[in-house]
Amino acid sequence: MVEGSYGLFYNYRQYLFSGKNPVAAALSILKKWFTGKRRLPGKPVSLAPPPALLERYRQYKRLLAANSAILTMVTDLQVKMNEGFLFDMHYVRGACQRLGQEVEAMVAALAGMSGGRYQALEETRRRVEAKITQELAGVTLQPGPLVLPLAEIREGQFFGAKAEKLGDLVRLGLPVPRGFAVSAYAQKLFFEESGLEDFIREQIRRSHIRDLESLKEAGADIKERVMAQELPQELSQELARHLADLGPRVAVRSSALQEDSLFSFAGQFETFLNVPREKVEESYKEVLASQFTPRVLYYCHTSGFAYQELAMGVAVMDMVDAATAGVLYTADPRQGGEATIINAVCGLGSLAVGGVVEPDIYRVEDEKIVAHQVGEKTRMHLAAPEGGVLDVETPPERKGACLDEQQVLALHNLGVTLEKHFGLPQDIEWALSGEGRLYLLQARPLRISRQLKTEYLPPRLKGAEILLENGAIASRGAGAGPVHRLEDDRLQDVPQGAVLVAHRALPEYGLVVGRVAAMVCETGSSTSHLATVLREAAVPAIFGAKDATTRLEPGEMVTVDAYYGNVYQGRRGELLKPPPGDAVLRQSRAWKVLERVLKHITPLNLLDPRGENFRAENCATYHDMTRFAHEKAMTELFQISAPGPEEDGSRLLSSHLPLEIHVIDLGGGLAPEAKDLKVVKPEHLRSRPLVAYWRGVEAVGWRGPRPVDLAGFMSVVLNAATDVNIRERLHEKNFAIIAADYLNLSNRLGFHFATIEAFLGTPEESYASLTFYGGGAELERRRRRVRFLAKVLQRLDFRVELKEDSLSGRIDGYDAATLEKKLELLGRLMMVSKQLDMSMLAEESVDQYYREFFAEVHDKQK
Amino acid sequence: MGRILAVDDELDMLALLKMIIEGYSEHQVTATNNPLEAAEFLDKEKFDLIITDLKMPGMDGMELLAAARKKDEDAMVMVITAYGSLESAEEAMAQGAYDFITKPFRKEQILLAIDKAMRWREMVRQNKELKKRLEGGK
Repeated sequence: MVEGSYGLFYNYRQYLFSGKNPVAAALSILKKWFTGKRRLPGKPVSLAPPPALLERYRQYKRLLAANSAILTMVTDLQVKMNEGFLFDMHYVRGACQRLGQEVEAMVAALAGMSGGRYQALEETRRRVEAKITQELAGVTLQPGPLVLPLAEIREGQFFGAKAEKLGDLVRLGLPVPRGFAVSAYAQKLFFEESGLEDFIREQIRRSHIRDLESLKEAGADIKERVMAQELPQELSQELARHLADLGPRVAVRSSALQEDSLFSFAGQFETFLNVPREKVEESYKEVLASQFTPRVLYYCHTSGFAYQELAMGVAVMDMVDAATAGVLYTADPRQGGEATIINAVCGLGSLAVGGVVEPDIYRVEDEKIVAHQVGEKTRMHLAAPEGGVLDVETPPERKGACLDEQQVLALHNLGVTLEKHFGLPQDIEWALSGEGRLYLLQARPLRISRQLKTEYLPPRLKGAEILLENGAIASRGAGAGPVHRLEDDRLQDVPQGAVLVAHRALPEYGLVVGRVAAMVCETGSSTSHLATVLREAAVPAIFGAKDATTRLEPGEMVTVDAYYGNVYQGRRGELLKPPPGDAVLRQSRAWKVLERVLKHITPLNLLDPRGENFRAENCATYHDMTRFAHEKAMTELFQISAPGPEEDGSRLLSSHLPLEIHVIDLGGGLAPEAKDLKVVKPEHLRSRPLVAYWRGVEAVGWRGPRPVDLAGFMSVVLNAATDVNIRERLHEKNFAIIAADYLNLSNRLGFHFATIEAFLGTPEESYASLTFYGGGAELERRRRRVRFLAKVLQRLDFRVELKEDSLSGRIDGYDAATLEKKLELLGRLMMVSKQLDMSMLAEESVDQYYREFFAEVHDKQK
Repeated sequence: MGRILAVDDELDMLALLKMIIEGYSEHQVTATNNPLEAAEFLDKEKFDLIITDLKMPGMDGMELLAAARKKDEDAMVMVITAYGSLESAEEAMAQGAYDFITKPFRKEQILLAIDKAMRWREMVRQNKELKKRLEGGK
């Protein structure tokens, strides 16, 4: 201590005689006094970065790579689903598998960075993965009732699409013949109890995939065996019980679980008309056996025999002894357009489609028959007295028109009702009984919804004033509304129906997707969190629209064209029409599965990292996990400098400034020629963020403190002597942990501490942050200094939080080049604010220094 | 209006192809998930265009392509390849396929490709006919 005191005075005298600012000299000596830790002599110094630091940084980079891969894949999945692509289950499975691997890698990287914390995230990951696997596996056939009356059948009970639809029609009060249905589970029970399942597996195994004949033989053998087996007693009894409620003759129709897409032509499922009650069991078995066509057997070969995909329900309904029957389309299946098309034949409807006879065709538009063509109808089907169907020549007296105007319009009205109820054009089977009663036998979505030629929108609308162009499409579509410019991230001010215009594309803007008509951001990419959220919510958006915040006037009505990346003045109705739907594509199984799977992938619930729910256990989707892991990884990376690294692996940065900074290079942060140098110069720096920051540091240079009053000076001495925390931390060295794209600078300047961190990658990855606390002066002056800092940082678009004399600020959502400019200003700011607290005598100094800072920046820029 | 044979072991894809082509064009599609059955169809009927997946169990698209070209040297075959298997598409083109398309694709892509193929087929047909007439006139 004596030696130290002597040293203090010795140094002070030296400063006094050197003609330097005496206050600065005194402070400098004080600092040395408190921080007098000496390097141990003789220990060899390694220049290789400490392995633990390097590993943490590498894990971070791995995490970033996974993050970016995940967001790209999610974007791709959303685009494939919503932009008219044809894809199959191979694609969906493959994409989900790759995505799952990246999420796993990301979670592992976070665990690696944090020493195994975030166990909850790994648990969440497994949970979400299990859900996705389940969706991909498809619906598992669940035990349930074997037989139910049509009126009680609803979706999800495994009675097949046809029976479910009929149940719907009955409940709507529409004229459906009395009936019931047998569930797919009943088939499973039948096949399992009778040993058929094993038999079928064996037949499939023994047939040759390269030999069509063997597949045909296997099909015939299976049919024979199905017909020969007795139904389970329970099923047989149920059938008899429900048949007692029906008439003496029934129709037995297949009702496959996947009828509308998968097996639409893999199997021509049988339908049996005019079946006597006592033969229903036989017809039921025949319907089941009809599915084992060579195509289905080939499919079983290639995909494995899966009941979920093969089992079918069967509907049994009162037979309508039709005088006239046919089909009705609620839209023109060939040319599109609003019309009802009715095909009618004499007798049963089985000849109305298929081209055996020429039916009568009626076309109804605007409630009027606009075209009418009487077909030749050479033959007709009749219900045979002994059961089954008779194919006879049509007697001459029945060859005229089989429907009158009233009947045609009644059918048309029925079609309109159904289309309105189901929201899609329908393909309806109908029959008119001998007594003139109309019956609905079946309804399904019309295969070809409307054959619209894709209307191509022009890239540029004629006669419309264009306000912005060539933005990147973040979420396809178009929307119109008054412009609302986002100020200071005040999301609560965003009005309903606005077109939101913002500088950046930050994830938390997702909080208002439900309120906005469209969004325009000056930065951001289509693979950002926000873009994913916008696509999920179908909110049109353009990112990378330069100068949007200056060129779009608040309150002005605009139309955002996120097909071509333009913004037009006013409301452009032609853009706002929904594009011709891809209803056809949406009928595919792969599409439906992808839609379900994406519910576990794309939604982002963790929008605000400062929010209460930002926790691993609250992650419900891959997107949540990605956002969470990235955010936490940044926190973990920041910790790279705490506790203070050892000098091992570092080298000294030497410049004309009296700043001692130990540099640890994790890769690419220094020029190759500096590889073996123990002392490096600023010109050796290659770390983009440090180079930018250093530019600012050098622009300001080393300045002595501003004029200080005695109270200010004394407060420094007292504080430094009494504040244990400050005294301890004054021993710490300045470290810059760098890489080509990274900077973590723990910086002590005077009596305050600052950590500057920055990563420059893609706009989604890049950020800069600052934490700042301490100082030599008394508390109120230190508070003034951080208020000054906050004011500057806010103007630079940092988000700032203040507490007493400490500050934390952060900026993200900008591209690397913009952040470099901000880092340079940050470098200036840090140098300017050195020992500034002492001179902040009054509150006015906050504004004064703020103005001075920008005036000086402005001068330099000139 | 043309006749198209579509072959893909993924029933879902096959169903989509048929629905899309018949829904948005005048062409008629015969569809099968079994390439052996496809070969049978080729024996019975003449198609203006064959659209086939390349990777299928039993008989792959390449074999089907060879069978089709053997039957009719002008047979038009468009192969569907999975993403990332460009080599097999190039191989198919070298073996006489007219065009290829990579899964997943947009419906407009396949419709335009079919349109182009049909026009090409028509040109080849007319060309042959004119040649024949010229030769006959000699």
